Amino acid sequence: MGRYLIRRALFMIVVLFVVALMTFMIFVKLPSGDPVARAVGRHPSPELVAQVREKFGLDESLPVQFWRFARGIVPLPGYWLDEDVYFSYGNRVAVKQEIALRWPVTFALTVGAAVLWVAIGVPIGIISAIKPGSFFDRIATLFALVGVSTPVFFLGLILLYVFHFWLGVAPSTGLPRDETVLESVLQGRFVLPWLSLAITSAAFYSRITRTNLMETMGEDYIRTARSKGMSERRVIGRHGLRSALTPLVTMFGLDFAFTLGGAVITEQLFALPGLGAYAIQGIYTADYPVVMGVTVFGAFFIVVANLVVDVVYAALDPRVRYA
Amino acid sequence: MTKALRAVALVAVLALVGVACGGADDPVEDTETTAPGAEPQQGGTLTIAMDSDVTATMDPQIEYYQLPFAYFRCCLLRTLYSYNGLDQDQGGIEAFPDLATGEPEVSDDGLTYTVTIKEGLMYAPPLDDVEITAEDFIRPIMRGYTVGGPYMNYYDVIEGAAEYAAGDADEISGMRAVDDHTLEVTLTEPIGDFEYRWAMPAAAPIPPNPDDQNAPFGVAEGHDESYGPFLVATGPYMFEGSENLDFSAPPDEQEAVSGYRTGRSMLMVRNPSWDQDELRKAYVDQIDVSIQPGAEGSVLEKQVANDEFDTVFSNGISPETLQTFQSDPELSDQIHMHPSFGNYFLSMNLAVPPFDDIHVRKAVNYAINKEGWRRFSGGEVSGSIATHFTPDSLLNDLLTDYDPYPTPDHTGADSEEGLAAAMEEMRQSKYDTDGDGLCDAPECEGILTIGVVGTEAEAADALIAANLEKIGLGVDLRSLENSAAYNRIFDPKNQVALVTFAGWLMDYPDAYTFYWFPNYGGNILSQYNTNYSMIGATPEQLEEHGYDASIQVPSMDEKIEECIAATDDARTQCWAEADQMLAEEIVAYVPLIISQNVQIHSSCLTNYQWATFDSQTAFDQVAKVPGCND
Repeated sequence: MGRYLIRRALFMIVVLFVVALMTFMIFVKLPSGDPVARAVGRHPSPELVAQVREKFGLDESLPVQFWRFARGIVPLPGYWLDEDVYFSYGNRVAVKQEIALRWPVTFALTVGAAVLWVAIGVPIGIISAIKPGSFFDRIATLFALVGVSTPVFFLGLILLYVFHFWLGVAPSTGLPRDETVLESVLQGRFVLPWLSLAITSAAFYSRITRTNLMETMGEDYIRTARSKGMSERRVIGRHGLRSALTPLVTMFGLDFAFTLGGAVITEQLFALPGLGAYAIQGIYTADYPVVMGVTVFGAFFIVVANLVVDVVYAALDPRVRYA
Repeated sequence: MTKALRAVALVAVLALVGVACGGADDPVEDTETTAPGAEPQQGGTLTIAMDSDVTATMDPQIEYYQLPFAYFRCCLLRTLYSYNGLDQDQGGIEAFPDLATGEPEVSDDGLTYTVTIKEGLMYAPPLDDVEITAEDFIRPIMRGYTVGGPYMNYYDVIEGAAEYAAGDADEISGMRAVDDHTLEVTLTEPIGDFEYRWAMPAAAPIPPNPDDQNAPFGVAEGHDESYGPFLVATGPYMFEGSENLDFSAPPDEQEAVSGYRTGRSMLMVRNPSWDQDELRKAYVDQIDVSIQPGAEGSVLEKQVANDEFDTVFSNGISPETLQTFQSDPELSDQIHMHPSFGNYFLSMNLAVPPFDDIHVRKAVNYAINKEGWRRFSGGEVSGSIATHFTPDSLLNDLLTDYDPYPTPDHTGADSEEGLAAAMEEMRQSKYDTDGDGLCDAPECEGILTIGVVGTEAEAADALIAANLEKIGLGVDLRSLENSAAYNRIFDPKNQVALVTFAGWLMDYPDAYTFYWFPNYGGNILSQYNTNYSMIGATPEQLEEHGYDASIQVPSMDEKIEECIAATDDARTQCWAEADQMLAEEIVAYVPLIISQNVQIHSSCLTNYQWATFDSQTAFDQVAKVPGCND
């Protein structure tokens, strides 16, 4: 397992390098904004343009520019998102500093949503699998269809308008300046964002759980367990769920990491100052270091999540062993 | 009910309980309002939501955006001259003495300006024992050049500024502190808008660093990237926590003010060093700004209607909100529309055939359906039809009735008379070879035209294309994403013939800012060029950028230079003449609209004032209803 972990760590560097390269190429090759234009005003002298380009490192050749960014993907002190390279062209603030301030917001949003989508989706899927064709199953199917089909943006707006503007039972958008993220969570300011983010995933998870469990319950070893006189609860809980949920572990890990990279739409809609909002602002303003930084950070988490998922998978399934 | 279902129900209940316990904001209680005619009450917190961030962390030498300019003027920074935060009819575009005692003394040759600084005015904490002196007005200009301020070209006219900017001098020879309260500025050429240039935030005083008197940029030393979070205020407000700024520490170890969280929020509180001044009322105790880049506009607008925010700064009010506010009697006095000092126009490249022919350009002026363009661009709320380039408010309304290319209801070639006038003009063009009123030479087809993507923009562009088709002009329209479109037109080598989304906005209320950059031949740049029409391009410039150097491009450089040096009424008259010259002799543009700004506010604001210079709510003039949404 130790060698496996080392190999995966090295592979992570390769993945981050490829992600950084692709992101860099997108900015270079595709039509995008000119960050220098925003900084130099309406009638810049050639000297001012040169000064700003030098400040942003854009006077270097493309390979040199990329190399400067690439060094920042090594997750070691002195390298990771180096402040001399990864600073916002807009506000000159180090990307690392902004990520550190915004990450807790995205983390709170993601964790809460993840808990909800598992807590809602998996039980619904279990019950639907146990009672296929029942009234509950039909309602659950409708829930899944609506949940999967409804865009997060639309769902969030509906929730906001119903629960805040109409019923007045939910807080408004944004986080007050004098509240920590935890205080905001306890004040219920994340409930609507959680719901809008979780419902789509919950719908999806309910269907996956239902399908997997129904498939598993048809296996021979389940029939054997029943024929041995095991209670249905034990059959489902001890044997059925373990197999049915294993694929969900993989999915959950990836979904969680993906969402952690920035639930852009939800953060924008509910004015949550998280990573997603930071990244989208960077895209709008052609702020390369911001986009690179958030992308690399998000990719880092996805790679780490993949690793965690694989390790957990091995723990769940004794047939899986890593060398 | 099965156990599983009970579990699901429990989760749902817990969620709802969590929401309910989180609590909604308390409903706005009925509060007493200010009695009509009574002086507005001091107090309260003005709450503002922004759906975009400032562009340079409130650094006065680097910010170049409308809203930070407003925050500086109203609240944080006083300058030698400034605006009163009122409507134009109340002097809103005049530059009044602010830190200066009065108008500058000007030498007979118009080159030396002597300004007397008011005595006894102190900076905000932590430098509330430091007086504002003449030397403090030299630092910002030097710093602006050093950090690459985006509009330092307004100060190029100071003697020695060019040498300093080039690194050939350690100071700007044309700026001198005669004594603590006398500033002398020597120019290289006469200008008629000195007060306006010294009303810009870049010219706001920077105090010396009490712990390092030799620091050339004072307390801003070492904060080349971002002085905003370390700003020492001079206005009625300062960032919360300013008193804790410690300039004795090395710059990279100094802690930024707690009241400014970059990209997220600003909290401005009263500056205890500020006593009343003639320009600002500053009724509210605090200004709380929530920065929400990319926020959904309709949500912010609804929050204003609900009194959750007092006002919102956004890219525009949605038509639905507009209708709601205008039709609801309870909201109708909470919406304000005022012309801005900006325009939109169609720009023709005078160096690209067939637009090298003045008759073609005049024909285009007759052909464009401006009313239709406005309809596609948001309707009447987007602005008033422009019949000439410069907003009337910058010309003292001298050209209010001036319309050199009139068509019925501004419908251009979509009216019989408009089409006839356009065709008559085209007949006189060399590109109408058979004299039928239609452009028929090969140059009349495939005209490279750049527009921007977007439903409204593309519909408006389609209208333009259709109008031009009626006089035989076929466009090759490329609709690009906004930034890509600007990249394209900024480079004169791309030889873009027609720009459909061109616009201009003043930097200060003098017509100079509408002419110097977009219409002066000497300002054609190889990068980030804003003289899209190549007005005044010399044969050398044409050749440099790959054009046919034999094309004779008209120039208005002499007229512009004449107006720059003029003062007072003669200056306004000169710019009016320049505008007419642009319309009738240069004919580089088809002016489309003078844009309009729309603002909504909560019911908690009283004494509402529109600041014409800020083009929005005057934060230093409004007051709050006591106890309302605080």
